[in-house]
Amino acid sequence: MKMIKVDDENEGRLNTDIIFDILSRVPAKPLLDMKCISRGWHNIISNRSFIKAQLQNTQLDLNGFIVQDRYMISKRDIKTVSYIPVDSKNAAKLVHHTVFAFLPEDVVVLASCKGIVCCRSCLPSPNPTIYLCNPSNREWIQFNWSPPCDITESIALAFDFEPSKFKLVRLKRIELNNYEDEDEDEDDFFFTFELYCSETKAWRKSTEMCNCKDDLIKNRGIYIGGFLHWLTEGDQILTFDVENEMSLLIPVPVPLENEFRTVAACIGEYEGRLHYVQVSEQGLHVWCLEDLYEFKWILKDCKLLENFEAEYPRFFFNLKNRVLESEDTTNPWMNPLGFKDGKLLIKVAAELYIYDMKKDKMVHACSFLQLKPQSMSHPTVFPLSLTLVSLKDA
Amino acid sequence: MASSSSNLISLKTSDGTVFKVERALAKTMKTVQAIIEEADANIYMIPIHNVFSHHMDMIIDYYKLSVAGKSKEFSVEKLDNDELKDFLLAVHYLNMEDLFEVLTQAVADRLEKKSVGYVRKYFGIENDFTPEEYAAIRKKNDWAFKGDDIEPEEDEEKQEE
Repeated sequence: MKMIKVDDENEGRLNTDIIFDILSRVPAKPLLDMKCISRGWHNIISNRSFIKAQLQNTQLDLNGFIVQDRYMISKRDIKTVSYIPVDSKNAAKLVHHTVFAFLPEDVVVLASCKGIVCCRSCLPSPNPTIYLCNPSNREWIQFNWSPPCDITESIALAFDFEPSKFKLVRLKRIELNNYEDEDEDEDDFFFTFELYCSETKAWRKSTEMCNCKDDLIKNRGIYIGGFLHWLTEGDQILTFDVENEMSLLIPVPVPLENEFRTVAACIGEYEGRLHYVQVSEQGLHVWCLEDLYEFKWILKDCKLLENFEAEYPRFFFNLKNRVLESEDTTNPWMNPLGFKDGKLLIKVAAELYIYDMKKDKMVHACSFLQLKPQSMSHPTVFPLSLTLVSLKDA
Repeated sequence: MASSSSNLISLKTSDGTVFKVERALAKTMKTVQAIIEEADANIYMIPIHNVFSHHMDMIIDYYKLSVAGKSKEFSVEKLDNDELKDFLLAVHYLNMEDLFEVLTQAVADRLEKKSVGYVRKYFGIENDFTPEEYAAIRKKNDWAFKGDDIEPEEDEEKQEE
């Protein structure tokens, strides 16, 4: 009978293979802490094949929201970037402004995808640069931002976990005079797409154009399942199939009740699908896009404004009236700013809250003053997860 | 006397208990399966080192649940962290893939809430960083997401949400 070798030295201790297996099932945030346990562990956690296994075995958890303001009309950027952690206990104490201090200059954040953040130099700049970075490990790569550099343009990041594979999509809005029509004042607006590919390391104009009468709002593209989505001022969501370079406009969901006026809205990803969050006199509605090409939306959650008031009287005194009376459409009283994984960052008056849809729980995140804004009305919000992915593998 | 054509295999644990298990269950233990296949003659009894009878009880529980399609109901909640570690070692020795995955996930789920000091003790790892290296690494990881608050480290369970 064959003898079985018993590993006596390691009896009671777990060998490296077992440790590798266990750690590959731990989410990124605690793993970052565990890097300091020993040199061996530091090497395991930084190892490329470990990172690949960990990505397959775990899900990305929302860690917090990046918030950055911008002037409505200006040629200068606001340099301050704030970070609101989602950890419910300490959010207000931990709002801080140094997330991107490791980059060589102040930046404007453009997009956030699976833990990787795309940002650009603040304008005016002598050498406009685009950065792709991972705040978890402070690594970044950079390349030139080809002119003309428009302070309002939207650049979105399409990042999949194939190492080194990403695309940037630069959106520009152009106006074409339509002289064929009898009414010569008719101008058509189009969105054009320019792509940067990590494989070719070059920008290239796409032949695709999208005819859309509305401009973007909450200027950021969200990448889900191969598609980029941008919210527009009107009732459509601009969508771009990155691989096939085709665009379409998805109509936003509208409930069947009469007299429905959307006061404010935002889009975000949850469970691998696009979600649309809207505030109206009917309250807060969260919709899920079940079928992209069929434009099929399903209502996932809804809560009346009266219920928010009743459950959180300290936060939301007289909420419904304030929401309806608010006349400034560019700065609504209740404004959903960012949504991911069932958590919504929402601004009400001058305070920010995080609403957890799954637990039906609202917590106060911070006051707007803690974000050190210079204008107060147009924050762009990017949800951020933590990832171990190394951009240097590119 | 057990013969190789019988449906039951006898396994003897470290603490001397003999379990008669179905051939199908023995097949999920790659280590045991290798012994059976390599034996020239019929095997009377297979000793399984590092596996105690309370481990075999849980293994049999898991097997019964998976056969019934209810493997999700299997729980190791009642085991403390050290008992879970021992069980994991036993299952690793027996080379049982599915149950091993369940247990490593269970350990991972428990570990993510623990402090660095606890994790070090649990795995018996020595901190081989110099104090300067250690401080540099802590600083590198902490500043990005925790503002000025650095969470306490030694032997404390992190606050659970």
